[in-house]
Amino acid sequence: MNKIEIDHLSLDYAEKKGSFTALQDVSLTVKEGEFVSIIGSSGCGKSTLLSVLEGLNHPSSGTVKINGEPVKGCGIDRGVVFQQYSLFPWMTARNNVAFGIKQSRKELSRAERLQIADEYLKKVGLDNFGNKYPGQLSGGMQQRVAIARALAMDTDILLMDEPFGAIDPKNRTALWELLLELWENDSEKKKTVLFVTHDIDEAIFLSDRIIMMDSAPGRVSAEIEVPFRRPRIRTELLRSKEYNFFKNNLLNAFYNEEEEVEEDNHYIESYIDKIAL
Amino acid sequence: MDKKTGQSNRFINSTVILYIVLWLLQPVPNRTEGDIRGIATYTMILATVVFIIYLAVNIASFEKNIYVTTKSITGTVLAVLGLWVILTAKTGILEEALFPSPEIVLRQMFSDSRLPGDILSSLITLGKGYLSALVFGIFLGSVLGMSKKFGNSITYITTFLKLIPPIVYIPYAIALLPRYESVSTFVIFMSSFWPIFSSTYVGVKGVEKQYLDSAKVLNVGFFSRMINVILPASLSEIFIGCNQGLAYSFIMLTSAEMIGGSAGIGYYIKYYSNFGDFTRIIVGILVIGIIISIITFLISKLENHLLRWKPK
Repeated sequence: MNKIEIDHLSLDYAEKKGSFTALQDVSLTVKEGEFVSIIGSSGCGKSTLLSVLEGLNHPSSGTVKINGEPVKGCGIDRGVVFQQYSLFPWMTARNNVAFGIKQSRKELSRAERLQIADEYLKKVGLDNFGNKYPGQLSGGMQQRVAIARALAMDTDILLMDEPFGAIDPKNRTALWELLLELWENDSEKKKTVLFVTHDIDEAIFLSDRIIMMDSAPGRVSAEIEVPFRRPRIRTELLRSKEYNFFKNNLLNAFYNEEEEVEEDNHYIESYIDKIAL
Repeated sequence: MDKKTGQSNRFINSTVILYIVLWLLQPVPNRTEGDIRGIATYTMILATVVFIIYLAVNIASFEKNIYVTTKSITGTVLAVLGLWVILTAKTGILEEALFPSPEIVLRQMFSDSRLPGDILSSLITLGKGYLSALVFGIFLGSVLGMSKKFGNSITYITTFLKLIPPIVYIPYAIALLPRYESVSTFVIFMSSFWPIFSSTYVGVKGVEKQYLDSAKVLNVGFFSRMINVILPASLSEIFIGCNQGLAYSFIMLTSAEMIGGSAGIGYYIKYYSNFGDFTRIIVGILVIGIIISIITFLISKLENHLLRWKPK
């Protein structure tokens, strides 16, 4: 079942002189429970595309559907994690999570909300940091809280806009593993994740499928299935020959023209067969 | 060397010496006629109270900065009392009629029967004017700050109105308003409203878009957004206006009371200056200083508490 359907989406920004096309004729679908990364250089419109799904931007033409319904503004069926500023610095970590729960699950009492908040803080390894303010936490810890909030809101869809873009490499890889573990085990039904990044390793390690975007105007240039089986073990996967071969092909696709992408896809497909053996 | 306080000696230092000197001054006969003989009871009670507070902090070993602050305040109070009593009662260097000794001033302060009423009247006037400015200023400032229709025009208008010294409203207010208390209240309102309003407006207008987006994607409703997102995000800006408004309020409160009031601490000073009662004038000045210090201290504590989440 298609959870997200984007059909011939274009988005123009009005500027002083004429308009700027941020997205042109973008079509893609995301299946329920799928983890999809959108990768592309700065200014390719990947964050703009996500903001349309978040409900912060509206399409100039084309349609965006979630669960078969056109998106009308923001909604609590989608949990969102930004690169920064997801959390409110005047609320403690616990209250930030509880505030999110309050918005999506209004039936719960304050005590229940705080209890769920504590549970999720524990899941992201921050059980002793509930009373800390975001300003007292490191960037990585802040993103853990933001993830805890998005998961605690118990939405079907997670939209993540370069959530680990400002985190140092060591902490970033730890967050990859945490995110995958929570995504695979937290709820009975896997959440549908759309994850924007410019880090190719991040995209491969996390996703089922990678969507590449190109800039001026922002458009989808390639879609590639990631062949590696789950659960993925980072240390093993990143060192494997298959991984590096796949990554190199992806990098080629990233830098080359669209026609060659087709060819690369072919290589990758033949490789998938090999791995399957 | 004491590591905790960084003091070379915690029990023989300038503060302790000042306190002892004050006691040693007591047997010295007065040169002025108005002062009572023997121990200056009020002076010594005050000196002893601040000294005991200092000792308590000293022994309880609070953080270094609390200790240093207490020590310097105590030292200043004791030094001022000592110098004051030497220049007046003990030597008569200063003219007795113009410069009453600390004992006379303190005795007046603690035994004055109309002082509490005047203090209360001033506080009520201040409370009414300032609190209404707070409510209207923050409400209008945030509503207009959130609305997209008003651009910079509001800033220009408020800058103009903010620049008018509020004291010039007094004659007009006397003509317009029926009772004198309402004049003081109105003038305090006018003087504190504009700074509070404009800082709230600027603060709300300047709330970072990312926080608003974050609130939007969480589907936060209007009132919750106002209370849980917009006001906290602009709170430090709002406090700038509140403190400025408070400073204006104190000036306006006493000015208005002195110009034509019939109650309040400003009126108290004005009234006794007609009789050349310099003891009561000094009492009034000291009381105003003490009240303003207490209010300012409490507000800064409140500010620190509400903004405790800000990284230092």
